[in-house]
Amino acid sequence: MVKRRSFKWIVLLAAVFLLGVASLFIGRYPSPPWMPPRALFTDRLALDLALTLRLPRVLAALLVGAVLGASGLAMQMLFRNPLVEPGFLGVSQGAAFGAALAILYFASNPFAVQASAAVFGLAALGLTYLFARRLRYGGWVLRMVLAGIAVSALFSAGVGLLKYLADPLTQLPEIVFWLLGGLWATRWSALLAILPATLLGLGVLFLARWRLNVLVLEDDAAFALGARPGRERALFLVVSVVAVAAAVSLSGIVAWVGLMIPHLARRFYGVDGRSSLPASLLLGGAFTLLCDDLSRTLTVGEIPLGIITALLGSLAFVVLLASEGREVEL
Amino acid sequence: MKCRFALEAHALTYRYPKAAVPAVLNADFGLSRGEVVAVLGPNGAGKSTLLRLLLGFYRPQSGEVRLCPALGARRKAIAFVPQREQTPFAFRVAEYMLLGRTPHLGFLASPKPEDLAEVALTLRKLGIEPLADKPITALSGGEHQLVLIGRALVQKAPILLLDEPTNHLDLGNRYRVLTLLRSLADEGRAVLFTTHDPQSAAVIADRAVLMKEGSIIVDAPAKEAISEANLSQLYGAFVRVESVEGFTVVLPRR
Repeated sequence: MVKRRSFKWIVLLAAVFLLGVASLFIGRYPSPPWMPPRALFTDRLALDLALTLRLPRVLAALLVGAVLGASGLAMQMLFRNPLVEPGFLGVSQGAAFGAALAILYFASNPFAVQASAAVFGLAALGLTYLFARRLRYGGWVLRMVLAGIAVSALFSAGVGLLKYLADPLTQLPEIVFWLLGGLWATRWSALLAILPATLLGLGVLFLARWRLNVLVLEDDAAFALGARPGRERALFLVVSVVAVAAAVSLSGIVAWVGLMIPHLARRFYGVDGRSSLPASLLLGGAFTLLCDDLSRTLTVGEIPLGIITALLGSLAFVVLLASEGREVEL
Repeated sequence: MKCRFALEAHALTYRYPKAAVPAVLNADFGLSRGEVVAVLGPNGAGKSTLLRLLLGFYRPQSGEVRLCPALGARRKAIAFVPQREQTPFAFRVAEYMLLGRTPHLGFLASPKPEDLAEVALTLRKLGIEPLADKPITALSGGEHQLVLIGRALVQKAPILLLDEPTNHLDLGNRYRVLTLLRSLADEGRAVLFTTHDPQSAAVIADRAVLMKEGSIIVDAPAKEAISEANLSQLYGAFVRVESVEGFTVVLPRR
């Protein structure tokens, strides 16, 4: 039993590592789909390419995926609902609005786009919280969900307006590409900029992997076990959302990772946060990296990452739910 | 310092936000180790609210709850068994019971091998070892209740508060749970449970507390408290209370 369990972890860690290394060599230089490792020593351009373009991009894909997977799992546990994902609560649409705004009014400076996406993502969370407090209907979870739907709709209307106002030749394609998600613009500087918020978020969630189990219980039961459910949920929620806002500010909207990966993790590594959280983190990173590799090699141009994650993610989700052996109350 | 009660309440009053009348009004109450107390009353009488006030989950608008200081911190002294807990995820029974160790761990600490050993011990004590690896969503009502009580036992608290522990259970499981509660009190724990079934109370309780519209109207030894006059007043229905071979039996009156 124990042996089988540690075997599963070794497989996962090895898969993430090997995929990471392989991704440095997957690509269209010098010829698709693959660069021979020897080229690193013989071809100056190949080395440059691997270190300044591919390496930061591989790390960014792992990081973005890890953040989406881990926060998705944490949020599903905090909201006691397996259909929650990090973009929920208006964060994704808020970030999209922020990015579109910067593309329109700050001449699409990449730092302005990222900062604006992060700021509006967080603002959307704050707005959702304020709405939820004013609602007089249902419990806390339901109120947050309803407020999140309203705030998402509000910002998506804003995004629609900005798309309408955007210059159809220059700005509009850029907004559309951001909304579809992608890592083609990742450089070391952009990766370093999101490192503090994302690593802090992942670190806190990893430390909280047992505590999340307690917070899955009803408030009175969690309280009886010494937790302060309201405050602790709010703390871990803010940490998750800040990390997600930072991650999507770099990648744009990467759909389905935060929803599907936690289901995959729970299926193969168990429901307990002590295993499902690290599993979500690693699987999220690996899945996103795999999708990013596909997005930059399948065609001559690049297919936006969000399209690939949505395609594979939704398919995997259906397969996962349909193949559940016994009836499980979600 | 020796306390008279393990847990006591003085003049407790609690009103839910925006409610017109208090859910619990001026309740005085004490619970000692070694005894089983049943809180009886019709739906909406304030039983569950009283339980959550004693737990400290609700703060009373007036009055106070006092936990004997010798018992230590509240989270280690009082275990709570909720009514039919719904969880959205299919934890395994052993993982679920392990949650009871939380009060003994640091804020972000994970359980250690000795915590696992405590769970194994409790599984054996309750005779539910074969369930250890089952998902909690696959349990029957009776098994689920035993697992919830198991989680409370793993907490090692001297005081046990249970909300409707026999609700939804069939006859066999109801008596299994009631007998377990009696034996837990005989081991020295203070056990308090709410129920709207006077028969369950009559089977094991030393003392019965009868609640109506938020007030405690009777607090007496179970044999006295569960009387025809009291139950008729409480439920607004006529009942017969008979003693059969020393057992109190509650029957409807035609």
